[in-house]
Amino acid sequence: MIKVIGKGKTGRLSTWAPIAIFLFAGLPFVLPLSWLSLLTEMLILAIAATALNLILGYAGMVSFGPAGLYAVGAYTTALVLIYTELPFWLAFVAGPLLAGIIAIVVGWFCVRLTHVYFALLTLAFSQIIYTILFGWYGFTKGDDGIVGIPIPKLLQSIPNYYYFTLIIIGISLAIMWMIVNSPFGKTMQALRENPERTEFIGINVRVYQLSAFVISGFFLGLAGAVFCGFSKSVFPAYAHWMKSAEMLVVCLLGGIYNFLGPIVGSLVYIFLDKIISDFTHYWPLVLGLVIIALLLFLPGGIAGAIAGKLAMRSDKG
Amino acid sequence: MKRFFSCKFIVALFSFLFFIGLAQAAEPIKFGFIHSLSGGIGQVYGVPDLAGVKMAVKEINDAGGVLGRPLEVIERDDKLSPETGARVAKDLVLSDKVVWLQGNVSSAVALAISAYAKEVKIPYITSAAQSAAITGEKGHRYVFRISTNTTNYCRSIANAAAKLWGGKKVFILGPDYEYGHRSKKDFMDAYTKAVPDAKVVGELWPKLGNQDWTPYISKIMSSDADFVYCSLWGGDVISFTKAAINFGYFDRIKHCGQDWGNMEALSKMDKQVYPKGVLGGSHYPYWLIDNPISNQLAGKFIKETGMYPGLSISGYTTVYAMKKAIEKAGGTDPEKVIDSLENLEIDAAVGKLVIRKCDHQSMWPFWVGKVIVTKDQPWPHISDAILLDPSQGYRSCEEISQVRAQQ
Amino acid sequence: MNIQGLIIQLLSGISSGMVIFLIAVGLSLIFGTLKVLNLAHGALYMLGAYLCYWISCQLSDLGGSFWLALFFAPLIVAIFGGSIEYLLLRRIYNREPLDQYLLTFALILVIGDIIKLLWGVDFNMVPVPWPLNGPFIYMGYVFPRYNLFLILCGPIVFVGLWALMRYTRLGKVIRAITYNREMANALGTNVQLVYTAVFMLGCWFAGLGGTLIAPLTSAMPGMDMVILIECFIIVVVGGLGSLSGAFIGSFIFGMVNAFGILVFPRLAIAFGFILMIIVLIIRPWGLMGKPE
Repeated sequence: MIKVIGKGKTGRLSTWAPIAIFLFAGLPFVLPLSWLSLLTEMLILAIAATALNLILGYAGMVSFGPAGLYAVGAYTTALVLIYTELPFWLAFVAGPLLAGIIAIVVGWFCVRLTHVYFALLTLAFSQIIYTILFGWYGFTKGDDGIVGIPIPKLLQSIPNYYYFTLIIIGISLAIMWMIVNSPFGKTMQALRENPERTEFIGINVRVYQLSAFVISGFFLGLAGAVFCGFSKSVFPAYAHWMKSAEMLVVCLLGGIYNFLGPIVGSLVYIFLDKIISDFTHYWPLVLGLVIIALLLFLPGGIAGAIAGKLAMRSDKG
Repeated sequence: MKRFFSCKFIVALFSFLFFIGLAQAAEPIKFGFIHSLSGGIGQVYGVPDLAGVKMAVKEINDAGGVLGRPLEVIERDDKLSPETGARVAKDLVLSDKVVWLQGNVSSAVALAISAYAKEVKIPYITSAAQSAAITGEKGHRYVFRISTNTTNYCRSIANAAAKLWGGKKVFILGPDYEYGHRSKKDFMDAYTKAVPDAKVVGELWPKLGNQDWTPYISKIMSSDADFVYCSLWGGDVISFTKAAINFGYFDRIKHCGQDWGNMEALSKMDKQVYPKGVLGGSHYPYWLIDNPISNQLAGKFIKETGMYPGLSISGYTTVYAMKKAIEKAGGTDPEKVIDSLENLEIDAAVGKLVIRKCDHQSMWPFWVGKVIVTKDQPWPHISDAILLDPSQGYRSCEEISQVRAQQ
Repeated sequence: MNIQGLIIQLLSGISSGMVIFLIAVGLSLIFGTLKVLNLAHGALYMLGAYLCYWISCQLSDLGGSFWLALFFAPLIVAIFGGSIEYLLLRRIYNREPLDQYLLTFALILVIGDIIKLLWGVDFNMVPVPWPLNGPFIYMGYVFPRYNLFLILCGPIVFVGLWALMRYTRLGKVIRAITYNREMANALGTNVQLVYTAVFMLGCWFAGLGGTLIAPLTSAMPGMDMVILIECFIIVVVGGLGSLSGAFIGSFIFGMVNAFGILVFPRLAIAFGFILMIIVLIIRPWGLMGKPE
């Protein structure tokens, strides 16, 4: 299975993108508020999952700790908003910026390792972040979390925040798309396939991996900042490994070798969560079985399967 | 022909409207119940609380409902996580359009839901979360509490410890999060008023849900403290007791804690493995209370649910309080219901309760006694209980407005 | 703290360490041979604890029900593990590590919920078996008898496993496969079968750990994740795949826990992770592991 991402989709994108934008923009007029709220959550998760997939699918680096950087973004925005008088947009930008800076430090240590050791170190770092958020009660309000965070009046209604999220995700996806299709992105994929060979032709593997890690961290922090504004609250649980696991599952569901995979994954995940939780308390059981089924029968995830079908159809046609 | 048709039509129309009207009248009053229903620690309280709530709903509906409409409870699990709690609260309000929210044992979850309730202007009554901040520093119009709080809790325990032991060297054992630290502060504040030169000689802060108690127990047993003040609760009480029994802990150490007398935890232990001699508190020691409501309720609760009431009777009491408030307000309009709740007097199983207007805190009493097993009551329970007068147990309205002003 | 207190605290640390050694050794073994990080290890441990509770309850009229549980529960967990390996794990050996993580993670969810379905969400207490209940008192020292028993279990298991690896045919085959899988395959060993055997052995240890810890803490939901994170810390510190590493790592972990809480009461939850980070930065293959 050749894992080339994004090939042959550019043509389709220019036809589908405006249709998608039109559809998404029209939804607030038809959906009830509770569904709109759920959709906003899904979009935010999509940003985070796509950011994670930059290192997961494209660079082949399995991280157990994306939630740590996500939480850094959320908390930075929250703390700036409640401790200072700075305007919202400044607090909002501070989130991903600080997440990116911390990603430089954490990433520097992590990229020196590979495979399971890399994964475990990312886990350890994100748990340290969790511990700091949980334990530093005087500053971060610890286990209580921070609630009632003030956001601008314009963004306070559910439809308005939905549009805000839509704009942010649109810009983020566009930037990330450009990155993965740039020479940098192509090098990352080559690195994933064969690190030794890539190194042999003169690429500094560590630098590339660190760069990917930092970019991923930046967008994870951005997702966190958006979520902070959405729920007007932050909790240490945002950094917990369960949240990291959720992001990994979302990427798997949608397919990690496809740019739109994480987006599809988060849609399916949030949707399934809501529907199944209404029926049964045993949502984890269902999720577990779904994951196993996907791993055995749909290794490319849902997006991968769809892309495969489309490719077959275009071959026949 | 036309006239006949229009006659029929008018009759049909009126019948239709009549039935619509009837359907409206029978439309249920929905409320949201959010609590810890799974996981090790919190569900010790969440599950009996829900059982009590369902019992109350059935009793009320069998007697005709509230203003002719049946009550309907929608329960959700908060998994002891504020994030989950806030999310399900949002769902209940937006999708299910509940009239009020109640529940929660975790103060962190309660604070999160309280903030949301304030935002959407729906009443939220916490029936088990204890942090005084919920109705104190962070209180507001839309949050209520029909239960005790850490102030009354800790003052009651401190009062009993001072009366019965009066030791000067205190060892603190508590779960490492806000509730544990707040309990230490409230306890020592109250205790040092009664025993002025008392001081903390050691402290340990295991994480909530800790499994391996051995190093903690051995440390406590080798200290020279006079007694241990322990704010562990729920499942931690059970697992700590189990580990401590093997050290012969309760024969050697004086141990007190607000959550060590509630039946929800004690009923899971037996004659061999229980915290003997511990000074514990209970929200509802039904064997010590004698009033018509309690005498009938306690037995019924145990028989129908198979569980034992204590802290979890708050849910049941809350449902009845809301019934009274809605009837007094003549409808479910949130603002009117809140106005009715303020200064409402309820006949609860623990006696007459008043929901104070200044902070929406009910003056729920709290009993503290020694945990023992006796011949006529051969299961672990508290006995010789000391009851601190609620007017002393809770902060006064002036104090509350002072701390709120400082926020 | 006086000498007596220090000795008791030391014993506490050792007993904590030995308990977790029993569980961590299984994880390390599976990783060493199969090169799979079995995230479901904690769930299997939890299954062991619940089975211990269930067997003790069913046979509570029989004396010595705990000891029967000690025999049967790990066995059942091992068989269960074997079927997982045969049906599911085998298909993903040659796939990306991410797939392995996700499969074993999915097993956590499935096993956890099956346990909830079968036994509910309550606390399930297992009584400490006679004659190990109660304290052991000697010259003023008080320490639980059951914990002393656990301290003995650790070295017994260690020596047993070491002897298995060193002297038995299975042990030699396992070591051969660990060093060079292709060569062992070429020489006619049924690698597939050995993989299943090793996985079952690892699961047996997880079940054993769960059974032994049940009287100490009770069987309850959520115990799987707590122990898994602790196991990660130990196998990282000791070295993934190393038996002696798991033993030393567990010992250190137990000590850090027992004495750490005395010095820094509030940092208890961070200790393990700081240790993990330090080892991963300075010597990623752990104290007793070999650099890849």
